[in-house]
Amino acid sequence: MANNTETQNESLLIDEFEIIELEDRLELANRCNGRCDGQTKPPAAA
Amino acid sequence: MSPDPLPIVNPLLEVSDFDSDAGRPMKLCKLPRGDGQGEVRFAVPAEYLELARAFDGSRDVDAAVQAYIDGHAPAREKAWLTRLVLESLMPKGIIIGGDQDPGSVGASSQSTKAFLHIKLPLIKASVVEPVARTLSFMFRPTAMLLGLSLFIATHVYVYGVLFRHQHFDFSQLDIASVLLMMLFSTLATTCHEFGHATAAAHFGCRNMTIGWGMYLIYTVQWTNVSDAWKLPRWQRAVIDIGGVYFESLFLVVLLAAHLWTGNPVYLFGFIFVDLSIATTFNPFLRMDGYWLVSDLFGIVNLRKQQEIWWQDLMARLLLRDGHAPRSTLSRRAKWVLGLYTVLGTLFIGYVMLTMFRVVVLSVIANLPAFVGETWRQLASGATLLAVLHALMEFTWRVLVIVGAGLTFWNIGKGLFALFGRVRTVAAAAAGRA
Repeated sequence: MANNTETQNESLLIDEFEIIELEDRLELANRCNGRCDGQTKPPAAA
Repeated sequence: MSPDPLPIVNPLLEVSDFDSDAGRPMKLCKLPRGDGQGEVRFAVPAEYLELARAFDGSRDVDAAVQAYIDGHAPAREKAWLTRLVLESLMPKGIIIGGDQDPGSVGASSQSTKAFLHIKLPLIKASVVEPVARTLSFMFRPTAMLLGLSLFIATHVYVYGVLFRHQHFDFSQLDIASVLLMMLFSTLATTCHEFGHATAAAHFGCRNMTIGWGMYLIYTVQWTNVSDAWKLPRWQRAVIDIGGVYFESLFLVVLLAAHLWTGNPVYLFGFIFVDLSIATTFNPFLRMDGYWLVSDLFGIVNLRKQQEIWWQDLMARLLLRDGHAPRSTLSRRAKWVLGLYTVLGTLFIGYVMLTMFRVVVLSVIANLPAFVGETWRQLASGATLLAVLHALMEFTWRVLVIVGAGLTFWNIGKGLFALFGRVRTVAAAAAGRA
């Protein structure tokens, strides 16, 4: 289930003949976009 | 009227060895994508390429499959091999009709955005590659050893000496410091991406592009190092840690700036960048940790393998002994995958719960109050810094709302598809009973 949280286009990546379409290798790095004190921290009400 | 040209192996197909933990030898097949958006790569059991070679333009499908059977005595029967050709090798563009354009048939099932909500290229490969090649000496063993020593020394000094005399509270940063922290974060992330690209260039990879994107609710920078699939696993793993290696060199610059000026904001920057380095090793988000697990254990398409693991488990429970598992991984890789899948599912569940609490219960609920208060402050006369800060806060809120909305939408579609598969398996089970 976890895999489905990110993309819906992977259902054909491995077929019944065991041929695997390799996923694009995107190496990510998270950057601060305005909440440098933790982006999942709930913001205080203004 | 002349007969249809006979099928042939795609002349644009590039084949190399593929290093994974699959139970049998695999080859890497690379083709240009038919839509012109880069390349598509397949890991293919090596014996299928022997079959493909029988398509030399002198035989039709039936005759080519027969020639392969006569020459190789394969375990599979003719009907199965014919289906392999017609339902997989031809639709993927590995074997093509004699009258087809070989550059327009490479079919990919992936979106060009991959797993990102937004994917924008920023620095073209023609700019990235010369820089990466120039810096590639940094991945010689002596240079890496020196870098590791520097990493350890700076951390011992910061946390063992400086940290004892400072009180760190990020919520106490003023507006200018927060903006400076964002600049540090962006510079550190850019160093990180050039680290991946440089490691890839060191091992002879091409076409590395750097860009900006949105992943879940996070803004990210990315480097496309898909060419690294052709490398042995240990070299792929070096590319995975190359980002942190270069980012840690940026930490040295921040520490030097702090020692030079005495300004604590550089030390805050050091700790903030260090925290983001720690999160990048989280294997359950698609960051460096994910690729490390995938490469070290040889489990390609880890996310997809997780789905297959769940499907196999459900089918085993529903069909009992009548189910042939889809996974072809080795026994060790299956154990690693099982552990990863269970922990990863729990972690993603936790992330979704947090995202719901933050975005729906907090950001959206407080948005009208935030907008009203900000407007009142700006209307009563505000400095440029205050305007920038308000803009930044507003952008942050918009990004997390959009990111969470798209993520929950994808979850909904994924669950719908999953229930569809469960129903199919359950129907098969009922049919057996």
